[in-house]
Amino acid sequence: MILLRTGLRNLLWRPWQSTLSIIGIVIGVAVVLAIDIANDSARRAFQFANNVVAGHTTHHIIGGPRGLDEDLYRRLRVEKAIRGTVPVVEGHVQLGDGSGRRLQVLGIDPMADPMLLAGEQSTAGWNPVQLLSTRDAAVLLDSTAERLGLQIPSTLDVRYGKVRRQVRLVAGLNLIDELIATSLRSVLITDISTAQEILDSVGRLTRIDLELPDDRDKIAWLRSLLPEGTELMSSAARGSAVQQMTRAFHTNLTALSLLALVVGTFLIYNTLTISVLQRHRQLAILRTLGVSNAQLFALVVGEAMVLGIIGVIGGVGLGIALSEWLLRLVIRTINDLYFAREVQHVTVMAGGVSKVVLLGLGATLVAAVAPAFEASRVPPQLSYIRSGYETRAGESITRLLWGAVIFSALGAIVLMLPSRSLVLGFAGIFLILFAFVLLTPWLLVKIVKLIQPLLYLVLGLIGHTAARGVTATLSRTRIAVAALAVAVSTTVGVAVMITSFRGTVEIWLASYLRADIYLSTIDGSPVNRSEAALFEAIKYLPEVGAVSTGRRVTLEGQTGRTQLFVVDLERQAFDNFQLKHGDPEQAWVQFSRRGAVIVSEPYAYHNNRKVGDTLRLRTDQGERMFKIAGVYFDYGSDRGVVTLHRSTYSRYWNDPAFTSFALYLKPGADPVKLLRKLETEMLPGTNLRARSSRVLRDLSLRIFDRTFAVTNVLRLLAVIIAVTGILSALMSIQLERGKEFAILRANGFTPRQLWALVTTETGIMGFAAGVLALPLGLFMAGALIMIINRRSFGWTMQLVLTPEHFIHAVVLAASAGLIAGMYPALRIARRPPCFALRHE
Amino acid sequence: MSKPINVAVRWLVAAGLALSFGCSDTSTNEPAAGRGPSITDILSTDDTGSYRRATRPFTLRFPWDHGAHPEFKHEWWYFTGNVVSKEGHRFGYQFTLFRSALTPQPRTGPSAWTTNQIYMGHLAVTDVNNGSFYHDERFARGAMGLAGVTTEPFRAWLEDWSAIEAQPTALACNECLRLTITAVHRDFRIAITVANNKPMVRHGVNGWSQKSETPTNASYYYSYTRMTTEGAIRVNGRDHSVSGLSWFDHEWSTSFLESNHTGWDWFSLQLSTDSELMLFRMRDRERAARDYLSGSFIDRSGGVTPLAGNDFEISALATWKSLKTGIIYPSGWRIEAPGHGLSLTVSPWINDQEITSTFRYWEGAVSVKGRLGEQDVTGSGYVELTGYD
Repeated sequence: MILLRTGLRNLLWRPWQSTLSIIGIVIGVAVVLAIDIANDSARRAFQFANNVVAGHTTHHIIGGPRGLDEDLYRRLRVEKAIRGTVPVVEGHVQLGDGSGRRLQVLGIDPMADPMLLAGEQSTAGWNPVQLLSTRDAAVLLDSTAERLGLQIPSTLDVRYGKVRRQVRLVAGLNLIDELIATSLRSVLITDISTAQEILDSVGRLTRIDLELPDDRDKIAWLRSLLPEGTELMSSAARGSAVQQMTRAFHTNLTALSLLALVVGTFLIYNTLTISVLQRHRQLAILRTLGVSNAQLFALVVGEAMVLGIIGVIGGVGLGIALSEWLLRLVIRTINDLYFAREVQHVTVMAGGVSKVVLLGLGATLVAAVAPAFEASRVPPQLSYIRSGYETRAGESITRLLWGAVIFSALGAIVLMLPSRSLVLGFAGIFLILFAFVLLTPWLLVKIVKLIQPLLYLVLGLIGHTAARGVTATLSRTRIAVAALAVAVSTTVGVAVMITSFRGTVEIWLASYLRADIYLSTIDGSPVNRSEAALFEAIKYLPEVGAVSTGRRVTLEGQTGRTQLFVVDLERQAFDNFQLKHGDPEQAWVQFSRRGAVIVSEPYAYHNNRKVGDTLRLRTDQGERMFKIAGVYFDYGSDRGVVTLHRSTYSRYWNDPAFTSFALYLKPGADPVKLLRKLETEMLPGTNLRARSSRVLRDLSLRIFDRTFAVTNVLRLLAVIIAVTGILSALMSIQLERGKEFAILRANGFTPRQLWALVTTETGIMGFAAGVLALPLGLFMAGALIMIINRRSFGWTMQLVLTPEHFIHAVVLAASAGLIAGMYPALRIARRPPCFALRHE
Repeated sequence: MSKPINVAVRWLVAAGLALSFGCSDTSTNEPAAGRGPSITDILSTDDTGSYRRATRPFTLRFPWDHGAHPEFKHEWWYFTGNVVSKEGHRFGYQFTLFRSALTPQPRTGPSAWTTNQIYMGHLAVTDVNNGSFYHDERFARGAMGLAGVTTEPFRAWLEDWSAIEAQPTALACNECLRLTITAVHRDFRIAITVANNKPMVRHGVNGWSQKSETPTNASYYYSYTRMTTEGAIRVNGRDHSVSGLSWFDHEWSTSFLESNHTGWDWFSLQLSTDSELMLFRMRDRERAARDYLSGSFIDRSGGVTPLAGNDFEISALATWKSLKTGIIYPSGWRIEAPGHGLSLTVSPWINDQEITSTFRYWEGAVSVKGRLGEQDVTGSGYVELTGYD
């Protein structure tokens, strides 16, 4: 009991340090939790959108680019008596109000299965059969109607491609189940006939959902019934294939958020170590009073847990608050990069929260072990000399060096393992980071030694004393310096990575977007007949020299989704694809005439393919093998793209549509003039949009920057924690040295000199951390580019180093140090020396 | 999570379907949970606006009138039968397709799914010897080839449940009918062939069958009252090769029930004298005296004698309370038609033949005993009881 009160009293006695370490934990836990929630909510959004259609779906039948022939459903249901099948027609429309907002249209057959529409207790009067009996009838959630400012009943203008249509909102759903309601937030439910008409897919189904018993023979039999070009896949496989797409993205975010927690852990460790050092005397007295080693150990751990618990509670609150905001960034990125989903709503799962709580407390515990061990080793004697500990700290440098060697060797081995595991990649990086932390004291001594003469030159005795002060209190300074160095190096690493990535993408865009003008459908839907006619007209304009068309298609299959890019282009335009592997001449011949494909770098990486290999695609005539003629650089898709020539595509797929075309102007023609002509004369009222290559390039880079918004936020948070850490550490170090400074004062140091001494000391530490962060930052950048990025996406990036990142790092760290010294310096300088001395 | 939701959804969609099979006002006809609406809710519709009505006698033409009449709100093709296996195992079966129009005018559109017609299928088997009763229900839209009724050759189907003309219509007889009925459920199934061995019977006035004193409250209604039946019934994992007699009704209308009528008792009885009896009673909400009774007696040679309310009397002998719905149904009847020398006792083979899916009613196989003139007669048949709450 006494011990407990001693511990608590101790925490209250140092409100500054306690508060700062709690802040460290709060932010660390908050960041991890917020990212966890955001990731989870984003993932769930996809799962639920799937599950809502039929709660018990075990399998899907999927078709080619244009879906399935609807008659397949009748054949299965009527001729083959397969129950538990649900036909689905799905797509996106834009609201006709010009706001650009999108709704997902979900066409169902209310008669197919009473299990349909897994909603609960909806508004009275909602009758699924209304969808059949009323032309263009649709229902949506009451909350969605409210959000969009719609009355029920009323009509709603929607647009798919160029076609506008008015749907009748016949009922509003009011679902009790929030998870399901979340997934229906942007969904317009209609009868299948209405959806076919709206989405211009009469005769086609997007897919058929099935509930099949776990019976291998039955599944095999069903598979044998399916026509060429269709495939039966389990929902689990399909779901995981989709999740596969974003997995790397989510893992990266988690790793970055964990880094924040690591820095937070440093803080706790730091606070506890210092408090143990400061209380050696008190601990020794406790020992003489009969308190055992184990009890002292428990005392320190107990103190840590108090900090940890308060920090975790605050962290959970802040994390949930942060997650709303982070989710928006995460979702925006996913929308930009992967698929369109609208979630504006976080769902906090108890599992996620408890996971993070355990993580926070665990980190606290880990941080407490070493200081607690130190406390338990305090001998029961009154005259304890601190310098003994410092001497030990100095001696232990050798041991730390060995530790550093071992950890960096381990890290290097983990990183060099021929694996594609992101977790291993991050583990390796963390190991090397840790090795570097162990190395910090040694490096710190070296750096201080190096700059000592300079300090003496500039600041005289104060400079000298300050430098000595840093190395003399190594046991505490090293932790603060290491924490700051880690945080700053992360900033450097991430910044260098983003700059390199951006630079690479810029170069790539310049070579990739070589046409003068690009036309595409506004909503990505295939061009319809009148637009195709317009295209023909544009093609024969006098300014236009050459054209190429493009069609983006996503093929689903057992192994996940494959993005196809179908192009109809001429030889020169083929050079827009910069081949990483493969000879351009040969590749062109095979690509344009022999039915070969070229694949993007990420595709080759994820699927382990190289030039000369084959890949399997599900065509309208069944599975076919395609030879790979080249691997090209592409940063547009992180899952990879398979590019086919139109002639190859036409041979295997019955899908003449295209979604974009590029215009190469004749020499001397003015692209700006033509663009204006297109925009004012030819395109208004159509679903087509024209953009110059420059606009497109800027747009791509803007999306790129948006993608890294989350990363930048996390980087910033890590820096905040680090600065908090350095503040807390330096403050406690300086405050603790009250007596030492009093002696200096008594010996004639002026307050000004003392102020200078303290800020110089902290400045040195900040500067040292900044310098140490440089190699570490470079390592981080290298690791992120070479290992994490490659393993996540398979991209090749050029390392772009700009001096300002490194200057920033040193300036940031040194200023953090200086600022951290200000307050203690002021306090110490103001205090009359006798006061501090008497205090002893 | 999903279980309770699915239960709720079943109810939700079922309630929706109930509405579309008839009642227009949710607030007054909201079915009690766990019970589902009764079939009479469906047929006492106010929302009959501009549907075609059976207002006067009309010459039925075949095979066309075997098909669907989508301009009428309701229609059904109703097969019931009593069959016995060689080992003496007795079964009753019911196979019905109900059609309902959602709007008076047909819906058209480019999509093949567009329709205003929906179908409901009911399948039931009574295993008399084991005292068990099985039933199942299905829905489908009358489009995309998922459900419908076509003629030449006749085919009535709802997904894989079907009654299909076994052979092209016999040349000599354009009212002959020979059908193969196949309907499979996971736990039970029927696969039988039915063929008429007596001519078609047009009820009421040449097939125009009034359901109350109001002339617009009527249906077009014809029957094949005696169809030889052979085939297989599967229950309890065992196939039984069976033979016996079936009865086929085809009836279409827009309005069946008068506002004061709560439901009906309907009898189709096949007697050992090769004659048949069809009777129905539309029950008044309050007074039995205001019940509307009508029927047909079909003699050995197929001659039809229409029966009016004052020709016969139906009295219930006992009641049976359903454990599932708590509804009390009459169970066992005495039928007296003194003018025709008819005195029959009708008893259910088993009590529990209650359909408790989306729609609840009692539809069961019965045995018949009594006297016709001077003769002792036996027989079997089906009784339908609706509108009991």
